[in-house]
Amino acid sequence: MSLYYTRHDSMTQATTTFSPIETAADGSTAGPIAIPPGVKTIKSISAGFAVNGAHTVNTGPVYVLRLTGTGALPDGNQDLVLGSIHHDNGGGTVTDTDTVNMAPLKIPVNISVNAGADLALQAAYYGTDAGSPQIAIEIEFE
Amino acid sequence: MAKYYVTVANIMTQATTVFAQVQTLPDGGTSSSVKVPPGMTKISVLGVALSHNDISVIDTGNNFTVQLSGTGLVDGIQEFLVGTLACQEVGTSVGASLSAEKANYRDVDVKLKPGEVVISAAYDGTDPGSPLVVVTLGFE
Repeated sequence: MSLYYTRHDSMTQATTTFSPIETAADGSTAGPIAIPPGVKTIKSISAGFAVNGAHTVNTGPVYVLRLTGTGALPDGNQDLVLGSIHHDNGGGTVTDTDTVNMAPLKIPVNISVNAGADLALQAAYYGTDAGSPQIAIEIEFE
Repeated sequence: MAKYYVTVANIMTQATTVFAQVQTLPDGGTSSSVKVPPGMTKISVLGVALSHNDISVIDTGNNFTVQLSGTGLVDGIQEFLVGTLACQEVGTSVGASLSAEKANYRDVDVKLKPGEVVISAAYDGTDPGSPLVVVTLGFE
């Protein structure tokens, strides 16, 4: 049987800087995920990301998830690339409206965890600040 | 299934068909090579995301190759085709686009021994600007 948890957050930090992903779907500050009793591994990670505001033109940062937490991960921190969104206007002054829809990225993994410890999620991005991206993560434990 | 994941990136300012190291950590630090983690015997996952992080040079199309090298590889240098970026413009119009790309994760089977793994990347075609390549290696 699998167990599923989600967190999301707004990324207001500078490039190549990690910040916590610790908000629950109901808006509460849930913090790290308490790894449930009996759980041994993370089976999959799902992720979504989009700039929630004006996406700065001619930027295309690439997002990265870090798994961390004291005592949570026997093999230490884990960093995984998630993907990117690029807004290009060719350097012109064009006025435009663009939309993009994306299903979550799902990454099958086999990352060992220690039940009872707190798993902290953090996010960073490479490249230029695009605004304030919203990032959402789902963790599947087994 | 991989148990241990490392991620590095590079803004590719080099010329076409020239390998450059991918060595920037997500926290801004530098890792010129990845030490094979103790007990790990192979790289079983390769995850890559590509993006233009500025203005895409119009009428360019590029394929990207990631190269693994170093003392930690049992069978020597390995190269992987990891994706394509393209930007086209017709006439003299100025347009805009918003493109989303999930990282591509694929299974690989690269045998390891104690040592270092060096990650590099190159592209073909005309210089498209300064594309961003981000690479995750999954070990087991």
